[in-house]
Amino acid sequence: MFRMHKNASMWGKNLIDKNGPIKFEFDLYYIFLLVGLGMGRTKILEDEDSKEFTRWYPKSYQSTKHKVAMLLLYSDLKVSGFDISNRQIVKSKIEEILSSDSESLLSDVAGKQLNNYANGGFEVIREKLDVAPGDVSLFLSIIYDEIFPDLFNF
Amino acid sequence: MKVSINQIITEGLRCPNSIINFKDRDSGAALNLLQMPNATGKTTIIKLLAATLSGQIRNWSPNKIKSFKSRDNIFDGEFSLTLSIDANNNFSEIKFIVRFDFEHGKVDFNTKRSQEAGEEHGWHPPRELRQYITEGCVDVFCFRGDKVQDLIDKHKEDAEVTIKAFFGISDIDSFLQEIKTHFRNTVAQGSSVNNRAVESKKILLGQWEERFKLLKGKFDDKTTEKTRVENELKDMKEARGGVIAAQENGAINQLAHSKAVKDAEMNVQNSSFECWSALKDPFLISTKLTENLYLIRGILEKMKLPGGSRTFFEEMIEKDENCICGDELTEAKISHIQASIESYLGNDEINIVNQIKEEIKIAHNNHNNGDNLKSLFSDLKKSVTARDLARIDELEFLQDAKDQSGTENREIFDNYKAKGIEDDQLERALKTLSKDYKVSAPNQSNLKSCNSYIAAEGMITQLSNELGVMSNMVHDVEANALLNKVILSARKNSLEKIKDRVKILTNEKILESLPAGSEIEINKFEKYLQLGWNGAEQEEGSGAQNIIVAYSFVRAVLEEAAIEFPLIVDHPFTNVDFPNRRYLGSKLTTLMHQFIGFLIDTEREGFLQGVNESGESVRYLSLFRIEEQNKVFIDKIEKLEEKLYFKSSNGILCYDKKFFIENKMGKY
Repeated sequence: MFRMHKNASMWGKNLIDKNGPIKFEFDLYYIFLLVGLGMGRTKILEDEDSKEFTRWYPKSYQSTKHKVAMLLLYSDLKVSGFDISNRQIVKSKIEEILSSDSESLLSDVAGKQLNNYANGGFEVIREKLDVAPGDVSLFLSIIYDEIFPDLFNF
Repeated sequence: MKVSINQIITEGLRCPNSIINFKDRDSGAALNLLQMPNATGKTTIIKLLAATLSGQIRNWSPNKIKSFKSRDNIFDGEFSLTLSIDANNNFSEIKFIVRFDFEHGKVDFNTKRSQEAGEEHGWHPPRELRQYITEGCVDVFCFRGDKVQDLIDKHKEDAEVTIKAFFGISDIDSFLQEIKTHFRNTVAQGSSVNNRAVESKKILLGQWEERFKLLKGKFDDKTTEKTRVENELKDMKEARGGVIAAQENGAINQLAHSKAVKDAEMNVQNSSFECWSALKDPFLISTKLTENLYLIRGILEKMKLPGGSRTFFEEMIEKDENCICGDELTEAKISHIQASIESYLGNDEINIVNQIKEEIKIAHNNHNNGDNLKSLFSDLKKSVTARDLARIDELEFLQDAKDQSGTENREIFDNYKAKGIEDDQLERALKTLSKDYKVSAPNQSNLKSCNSYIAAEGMITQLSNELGVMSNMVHDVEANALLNKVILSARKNSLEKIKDRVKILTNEKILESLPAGSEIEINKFEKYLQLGWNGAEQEEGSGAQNIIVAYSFVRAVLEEAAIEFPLIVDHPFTNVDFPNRRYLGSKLTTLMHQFIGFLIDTEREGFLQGVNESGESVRYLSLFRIEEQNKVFIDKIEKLEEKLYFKSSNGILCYDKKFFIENKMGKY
């Protein structure tokens, strides 16, 4: 279910280090996703430009999947300009996004939208950093300083 | 079984010709300290010793063999190693003799198991010893001082590699490889089905096997090259350290800079992990987000019908004629009730929403953690700045040290830098060649796009399985999968159990060796040894604690394997301060039945006092070349009784304690 643009994968490969905080591709995806959701930015991810790097949430993210589902719901409502205090709108969005049949708790459509947000997040980061720094600590510092103040400001 | 090194003889090699007799606890001195001036051949002796013991010297390349040739213009050399073996009070001696033909880059390896048997061609250790003197095992008890750091470095796997080598786990990997090869051959040759699809799959499998061989060959070559470069880098670092140590306060300042950089790097790493861990709670990224989520939570609260009421109303409008209030259920009323039910969430969604609500509540209660995130990132920034400054300081220090050196020594600095770049390039190449990933479907016929032998091997396994299924060999495919699963599971369980056992034994030995109240132990045995105390993790101990941990680990491994070997250490006390060197000196004689330390001059101070205070008998050895630079030593030696030294055509070995204590041997 989790797909990443090939360029995103290439861009971030030097940040992945099994001994560092960003250990595998999902970690990279997660940071892209946070930025995409926080900025309310999506970019459609075409199948031919991307690859599915994992079908399921990795073990270390199992406890985060409810939060990710909620953030997708929240950002999608906000970005679409809906009133988050309108019960009917919120309910209809929940029905569109959540699925108890799915391991990720997301419907197929929502899963694709999640990937679009991650792809949007990658674009935001790449606009700030043409090349990923080889040093993760530097990467995290830059992201926090340059991008985090603008996250979820809607 | 207890193994000791009795004697080493060297002739025509890169070290002085000599006969070095060692002692062990039974023969009067567990501790053997050998000092040699720099560039006398300390590393040469250790390399020859390790490669002779493991028999690996027979596999050396002609160039490598030639590189061990003496400076003198001779074309033959000899290295012999005599071991004494005590197997349940059955004493025996074995001698390995390696004769060098430098002209052709060849060695002739012989073993002498007894006087009567005489020399036999080849490497013939006793059968019960053989499994413990493989290359990997010899590395356990014959190591450089910096290996201490490698055991506790979370980026390295030396601790686990040691266990794998000593307890046969590495052999299981070879066994698995054999099974894989056998299976591939079985499905490739045993197919009774002939059709175009099977034939084309076989061709593709053959191509991937060729690709795998090519990439694995490259990986092995680069690994060998990396080991060589790493060793050269270590030697160069040592040489550079020697140049710096000769300058005023050079050694102390270098140690201080290197420690400052290391500490700063460790802080950055810890800080990065803390920040990353905090980011795993995305609800705490922004206060505004937390507040808005809490607002939505209020709405979500109203979306759940209590208990089974949804089912109750659904059944009522479907089956009953009257409403709960007693009035007739008209179409209008039914539509109204249906619409009302629909404004609530269904059971499927509500379970997810309940969990989300709970997590929003927790985040809201902890919303101050947003400040925590700010503080963590502020700490990260500070630690990055501190690390960069420490690195700049170190670079400036090294540049100053280089500027203060003579022209010849400046080259040492430049060579070290260039070798570091070469090492980085090899590291990157090895990373690419061993990247663990699955070849994507479109690339399965584009073999050149794959540069990893692991990915190529994965393709071979996949194609073999596919071929097996296509060739009506499903049973073989399943049996192979099951066999692999069983072996891998046994391998994993065995490794974990041995690691647990070695961890307990090591901690017992740490407790015996360190002063009371020292709060250090192995918390976890991952691929490395995770230090800590009472469950709290600690990156590393003091220099002395790290050494005790490493020696205790080696002792525990040997004890678990029910074998005793000498501990042979090059630079045993680098990075240990004066008081702790003294403590280690007083303790060392109690650790092993034989300890052979190749000491450098900067390690002597404190350590020798400690050794003296222990009151134990010590074998003191000083070895140097007969050449102009050593005239001062030669003059002193010639005044000693002849029995106290051995003089060869180009070197002197002295066993006199007083001479050892009074004469430091380091850089010329």
